[in-house]
Amino acid sequence: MADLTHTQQIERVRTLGIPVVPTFIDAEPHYMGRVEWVELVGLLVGREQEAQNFVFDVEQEVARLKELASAQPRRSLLWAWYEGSGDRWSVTQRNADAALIRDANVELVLGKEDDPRLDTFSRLSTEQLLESATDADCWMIRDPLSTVYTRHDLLERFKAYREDCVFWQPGRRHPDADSWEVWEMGHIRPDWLLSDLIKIAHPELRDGDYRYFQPETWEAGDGGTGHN
Amino acid sequence: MGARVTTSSLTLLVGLAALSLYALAFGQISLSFGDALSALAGLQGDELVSQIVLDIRLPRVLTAIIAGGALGIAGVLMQALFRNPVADAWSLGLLAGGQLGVALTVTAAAFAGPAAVSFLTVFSGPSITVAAAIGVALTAVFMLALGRKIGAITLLVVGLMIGFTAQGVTSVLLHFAARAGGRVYGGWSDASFAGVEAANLPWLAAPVLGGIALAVFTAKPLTSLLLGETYAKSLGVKVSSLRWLALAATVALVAPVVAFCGPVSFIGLIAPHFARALAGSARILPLLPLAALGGALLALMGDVIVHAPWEQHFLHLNAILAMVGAPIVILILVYSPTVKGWR
Repeated sequence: MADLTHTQQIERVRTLGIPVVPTFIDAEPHYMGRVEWVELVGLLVGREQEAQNFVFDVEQEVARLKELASAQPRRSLLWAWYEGSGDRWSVTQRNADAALIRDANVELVLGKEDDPRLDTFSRLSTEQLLESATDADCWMIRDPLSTVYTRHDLLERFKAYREDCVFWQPGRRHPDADSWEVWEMGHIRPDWLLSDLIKIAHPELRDGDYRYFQPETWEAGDGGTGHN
Repeated sequence: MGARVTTSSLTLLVGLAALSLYALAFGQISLSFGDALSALAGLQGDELVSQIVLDIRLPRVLTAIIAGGALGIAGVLMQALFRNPVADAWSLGLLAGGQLGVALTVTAAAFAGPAAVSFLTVFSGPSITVAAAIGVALTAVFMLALGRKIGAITLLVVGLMIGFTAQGVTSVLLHFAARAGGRVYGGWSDASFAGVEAANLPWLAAPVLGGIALAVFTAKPLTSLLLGETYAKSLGVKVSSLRWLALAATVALVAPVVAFCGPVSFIGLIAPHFARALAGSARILPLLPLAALGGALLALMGDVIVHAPWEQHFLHLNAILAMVGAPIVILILVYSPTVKGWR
């Protein structure tokens, strides 16, 4: 199986006589659409019932978490991770990732209307964040590949920074594993991500046990959360 | 010729001042010229406007001016030193050598442990400048030695190959540095003037000022070297010492730029030709202010285009500079009598 970024490889594998099924999991406009691809995998490997049970369990857990979040006061979250070069940020604005954030009973700061033709994020500058995002209650400031943003003089303008509600995404529970689990398991376990998101956005529900996210340390390094 | 250089320099200076004001006022957030000027004068009541002008845009504008000027002067020195019209820090692989120096330092710190990474982060200004200087210097010495054995075009190709090799090694090293917890300079392989904070400007400017002083000191004997080693020696020039001094000036000019801004391409190659056209002469001393101002103007123009309010994405500085620079290099390669002489 492969997605459309592997078009050349798809042809090569087909010439070897191996059946190939292209997937479009990254193009799903909603995060639950990604989970449903598991049913196709189950069908292909003869474990259809198991796959259906898996999808059902995830759906149930997502529904439970959404209900839990909806009972909390609505909060706002800026999801902008630092790309480097001084002033470049990737800001989550729409589609599947935005839907997941909103389902944590969160207003996505700088969010836009969904548009499946566009990426989930746009690239914005520090200036644009200063103009429109300083009132966000919390901030997801870097993903596993981002550098630490060190302009604390500018960060002081942000409520999330002043109130110590800035988080980052180590993206894995096993630091020695050569993979970013958040981009692999995270695709088919939105319930895990939603659980972390709810803890971030709603301090009353924090228990200190995050799966893929954790409070920002402001230190370089890409180790996991330390959980095993 | 003096009047021509003075007039050209003043014109460039006025153009640079006007463009600087434009860069302070316009960007992803548009301000009025009045807002930008009042923020500069410390009279701006809106704290957000002051912060955008003074803390974000001003350091970027000053960095572009210092870096562009340094690369312009370094280009004049290198084209004289190598007697090659397409020599500059980028085309001869010096920028890539500097990048490699920094990447080796970051990787070594990453594998040495978190304490080393923290040290490097805290002292990032001096440490990466020294690391870049070593990389630039070693590459320059190698290319200078090679330049005496091979022709201009071959040297250019070798320089580009060294650049590709060093960039490849740098990329691999930074990958392993990241794995080891040393993600210190992410995004640094893209050239940018926006990553320099005001606190780091002295670390950028001080070596450049030293390089400019050395460039002025070596300008007269370098002019005689343009007419050949024998001629220079007949005037009492100690050619070997001159080469080392000019090389030291080049390293002082280029290393801080590559350390803080990444591999800024083409400016050092174009600015000297621009300066020669304005001066109507190949004498080194009058070329220095013109190349500095021309380089600064070019760098700032590139930065203004990069930071225009583009929808969704940013442009890359080197992409803009390549669109201007590459056609000029082609023209030089096709029409320059000096290059024809080396074929």
